[in-house]
Amino acid sequence: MALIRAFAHLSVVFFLACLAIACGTRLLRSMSLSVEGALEEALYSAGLFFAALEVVVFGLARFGLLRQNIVLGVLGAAAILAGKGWLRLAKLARAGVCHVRWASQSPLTLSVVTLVLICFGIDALMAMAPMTGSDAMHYHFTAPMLWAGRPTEPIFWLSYSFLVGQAHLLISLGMALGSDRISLGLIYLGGVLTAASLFVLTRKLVSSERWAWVTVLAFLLTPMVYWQMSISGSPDIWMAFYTTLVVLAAARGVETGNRHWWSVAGIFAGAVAGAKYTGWFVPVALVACCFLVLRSWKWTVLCGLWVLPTGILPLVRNALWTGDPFFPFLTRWLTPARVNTYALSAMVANTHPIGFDRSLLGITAYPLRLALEGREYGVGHYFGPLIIAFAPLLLLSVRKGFLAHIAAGMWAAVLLSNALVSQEARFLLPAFPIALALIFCGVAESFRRGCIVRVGCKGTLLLFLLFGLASEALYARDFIPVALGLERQDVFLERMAADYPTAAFVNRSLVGRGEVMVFFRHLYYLRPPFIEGRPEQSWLMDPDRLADSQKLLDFLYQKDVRWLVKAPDYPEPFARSFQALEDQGKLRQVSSADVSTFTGFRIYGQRVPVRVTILEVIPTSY
Amino acid sequence: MKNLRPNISRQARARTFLNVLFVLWLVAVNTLYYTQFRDLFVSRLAPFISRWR
Repeated sequence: MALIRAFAHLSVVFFLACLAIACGTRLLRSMSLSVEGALEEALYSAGLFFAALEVVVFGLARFGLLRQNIVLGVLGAAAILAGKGWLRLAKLARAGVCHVRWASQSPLTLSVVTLVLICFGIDALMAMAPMTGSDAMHYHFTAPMLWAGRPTEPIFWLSYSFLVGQAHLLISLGMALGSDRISLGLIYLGGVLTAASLFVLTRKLVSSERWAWVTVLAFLLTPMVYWQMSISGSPDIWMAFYTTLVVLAAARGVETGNRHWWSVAGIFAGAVAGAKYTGWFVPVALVACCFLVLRSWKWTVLCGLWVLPTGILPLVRNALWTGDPFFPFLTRWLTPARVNTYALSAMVANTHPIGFDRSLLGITAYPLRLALEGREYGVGHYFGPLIIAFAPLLLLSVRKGFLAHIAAGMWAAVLLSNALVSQEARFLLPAFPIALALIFCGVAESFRRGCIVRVGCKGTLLLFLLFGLASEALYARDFIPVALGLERQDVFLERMAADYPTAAFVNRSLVGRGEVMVFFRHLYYLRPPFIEGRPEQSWLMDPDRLADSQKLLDFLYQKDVRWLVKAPDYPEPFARSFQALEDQGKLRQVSSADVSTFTGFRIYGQRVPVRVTILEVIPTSY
Repeated sequence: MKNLRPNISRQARARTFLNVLFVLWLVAVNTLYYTQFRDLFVSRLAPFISRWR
């Protein structure tokens, strides 16, 4: 049954991909643009369609119209509008068969292609496991779940909900279509499209289909990639897809002399920016590049304006809600009276490594550190060693025309901005495919330069591919059984979803009116109406404003909080006040249980016992 | 011609030196990179390791 359900959800995602290509082709034609390569055209089409779909879904969600019947109506209208665009799918299928037939002529290429297809299959199955990503259970999926079927409104007790961007609307779309597995499937689709765009980019840079397949295999076996496209529940992989398209579209603009491609690149850059605040460096780099290449203010402004429809909506939303488009990072300057210093410091700390160093030495050492001390720099080691190992070969790849120049420029812009702003390596995912394509271009060139270099490169590559295969196999074995129906969903969640045992205990124990205030991170599986009470995540729980127990109690009454869930302790800044309320009899223990949860990163598999206590907030009349 | 020959050999030597340097770089990066995963592999493969012992 689980397998049939997984197949059904993947079929919906497959249909959406076909619709995107068909309808996107019509959009491309309406801009008087066409491409000879079927795969490249399909990628531009899909990119345009999903960027437009995100804008439509944003509007629907804002007014509480994101419901299944309305979404089906929108998709039906798109299917009709696609018209002759559907015929492009046949051309794409023929091109796909040609690629595979060509690959089958060489045993080496055939084995690489086979491995690529196996990776796609494993990732698809992993994406069909119940959602267990840590950040996703905190906000990527929790905020869309809370907004489902009602007008979008600010959730101040979940500060990270303001970071929800355009790409998250694909999560909302999946939920509106009936299942969060469709949402996960759409994230997986983002990974597939990124791999396809990487294939196109590498083939253009290296002029070799075999190298393009090897690059795609290295990409898929990179821990950051298979994690992000399968089970993470974060839509960041879509940023990687759009950033690669930005580079391809801009290069096409130069190759063909058709300046409308710069507008298309602007739309894609907007889609990157709309996904995450840090994505805004991509349109900035694009607009600068547009000016340098075209030396035309008119086209530069036009390119910049096309960024806005797909990129600016989350900023406008945040500005309307809080006065700060980049909430909460500019609040201390724009609306200082509203700052929660404690929560802001916690968010800044969470998006910067301990060793954050903006000096010249720190920035220079950052690329090396993110790969070799990855745990301290936003899991940078999940990107693999290839970029840093083959970095000296970049000198060979950047000579290869405008495409290589703009790719290198975009990568440099993203890397430099990341080094200056956050030094969180995981935010480099958008530029990773570009970096990989350039690196493999250099490796392909180096093969002509002596036996010793060739042996070194082959050894490094083979070692990484073996490492990637082994690590993905080890990783996948936790998720495949539940997707195949060999493990029960609740057993899987108890085993793999952090805080799920706590949430399940709360779900079993609490009925009746009133909100539950919880002090743990993973909220997605909570069923009673809840708010988060940890001051580092909740903008409302300001230790400066709720300084004593009476103010805290008034706040609980004001928010209609009837229950508190302590697991195992109260948050440190409020521990004394809550304890005072317990001592005064304002909070009464109702039930408790011993459960276990993960400590540190889940991947290490270390669990600790936790005592969960539910307390009732005694109403004022008592 | 006499002047050219030492020049070529110097260039070849320089290229070989750079190639060897690059390979040493690869060895260093690979060693440092995979060493990071020691704890992770130990924690993930603990059941196999204990069985093997």
